[in-house]
Amino acid sequence: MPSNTENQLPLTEATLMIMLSLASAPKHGYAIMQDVEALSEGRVHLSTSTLYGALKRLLEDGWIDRTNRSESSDEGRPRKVYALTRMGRRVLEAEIERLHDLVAAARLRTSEAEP
Amino acid sequence: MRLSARLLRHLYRVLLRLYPRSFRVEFGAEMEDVFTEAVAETSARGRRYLVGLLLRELGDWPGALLIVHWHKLQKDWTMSKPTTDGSTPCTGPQTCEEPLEPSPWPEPLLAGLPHALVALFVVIQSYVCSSLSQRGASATENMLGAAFVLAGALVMLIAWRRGWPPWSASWLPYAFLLLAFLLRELLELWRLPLGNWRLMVLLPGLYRNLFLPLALGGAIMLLSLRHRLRFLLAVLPLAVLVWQLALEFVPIRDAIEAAGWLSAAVVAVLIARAGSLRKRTWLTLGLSMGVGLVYTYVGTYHIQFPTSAPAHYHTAPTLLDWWNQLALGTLVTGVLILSPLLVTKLRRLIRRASRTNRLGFDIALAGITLLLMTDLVTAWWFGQGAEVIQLTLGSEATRLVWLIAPAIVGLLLCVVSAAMLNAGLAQREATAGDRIALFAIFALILTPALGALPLLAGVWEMRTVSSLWWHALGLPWLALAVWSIGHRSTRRSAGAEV
Repeated sequence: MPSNTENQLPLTEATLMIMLSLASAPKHGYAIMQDVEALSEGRVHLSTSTLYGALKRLLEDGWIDRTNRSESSDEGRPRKVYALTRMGRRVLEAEIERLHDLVAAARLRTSEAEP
Repeated sequence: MRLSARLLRHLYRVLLRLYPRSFRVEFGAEMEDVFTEAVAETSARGRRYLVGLLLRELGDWPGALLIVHWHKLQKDWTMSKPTTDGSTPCTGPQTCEEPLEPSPWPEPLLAGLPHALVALFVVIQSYVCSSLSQRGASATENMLGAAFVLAGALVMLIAWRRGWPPWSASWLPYAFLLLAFLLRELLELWRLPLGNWRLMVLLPGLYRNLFLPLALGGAIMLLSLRHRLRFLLAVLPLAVLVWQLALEFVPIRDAIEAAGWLSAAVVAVLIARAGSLRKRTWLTLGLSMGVGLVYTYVGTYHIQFPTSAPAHYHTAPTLLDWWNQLALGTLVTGVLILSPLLVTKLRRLIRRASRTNRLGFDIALAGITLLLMTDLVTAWWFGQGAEVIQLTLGSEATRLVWLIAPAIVGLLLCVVSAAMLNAGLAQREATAGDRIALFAIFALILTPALGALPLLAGVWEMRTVSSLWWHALGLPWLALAVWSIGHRSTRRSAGAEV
């Protein structure tokens, strides 16, 4: 894993959830909001301002990219669809690995503390 | 869509106005669509869900807005912050300036080559052709000229194929002069059959007095805004050409000219190899001043007027005569070299400001460019243009209008820009002190136009130092504007970081 990927970690909860949502398939803005809610079992609700603030940063970092989809919104505008880039996927995998190590370390420590 | 949904959408649109413009353009419509969809869906689920959605949107909105603004500020600051080599970090293909790192060998040699060829041309023309018969000399000169033009065309073709590398800028002034010559010849062909004597005389006058200086000034300003190394390489031979006006009636003119062009070749190589913009600027100014000192000294003390010249031309030259020539040339070459650089710097500093400021600045740029044109016309006026202007522009009143028109338009544009910059600052909630200071600075950028005031007053003889001092104030004012805006920007950014 390149060191510059490590520098970007840890991700904020909103960023992680958005990237997880895009890991399975490209989605448009509203679909991401709904998916994040489902993914977190109703715990995380993204507002439009948080979602698009995060999407802008992810686009600037090159972790996601954007295309126009053929289907349109209610206003007749073509929907923009976001997808993880290869770099974004690497970052997401690194974050999952980091969280996994953290959980493993936490499990080990709590099991040692048990009488 | 229900009334409440329409109202909510409208309110949301109002809130979106508080985001930075670039963010709004990129995401505004999409955010609005997503918000509308979310409202429609939660409304269907029940009022409780809708209230939850609205509270969430309102609760998240101030923090998200602050973060977006903060990121934009950081990005703008990084973009406008100069790097150690004097270039500005790239923001995209439109605004990206090439790095100012030294050109690798043999590119610097190609930057110096055209000036060395001109020196060779002058030597051959002067010393080889003089030993030939008139016919042979003429044929040799034509052959040399054609070879130079062909070499230039070949080099331009190579430069074009390679995407105009920096060294190609050294060849641009020659390409410009060649183009100007060809245009003049075309104009000659076109105007001769006109039959109207006045128009036939007026057209070349307008071409030389108005079109050429405007095209040249516009080209060097554009070059400076895009790439400062290219600009310095291109302006170098122009500065030498301006000083050449001092060599009229000098018997050893050819030898001095050849030495001047050879020096320009060496300095062009050094400029291409220098590692910083500051070094490059000093090299350009150094060559200009060095050439100017020698040319004006020779043009004052080693001059030989024809015996038919009026008696006062034959009086012994004084130190003041030398000083007058030097002051005039220094002003013209100084404006030529420094103004575009200062304007470029100023533009980069002010680009961070509001839209009105940017528009105001672009108008100021047009004004300053016109004033630069006036400088070029004035330089030509003192060279060989006086008789042509007198002949072509008829009465004194007409001459006045044609000579000062660009300066007056430039002056008016500067006043408009000063007002717009002031209005732009008012939008940015600047203090009254800031606004007054900036208004004064920008209003006084038009000081170079004061050089045109003696023309306005009908005083034609500008070759006196006292009238030129007014003219000289323009550059320090421009420098002050750059320093002041740079200082304020730095101070504000430092404050924001604290």
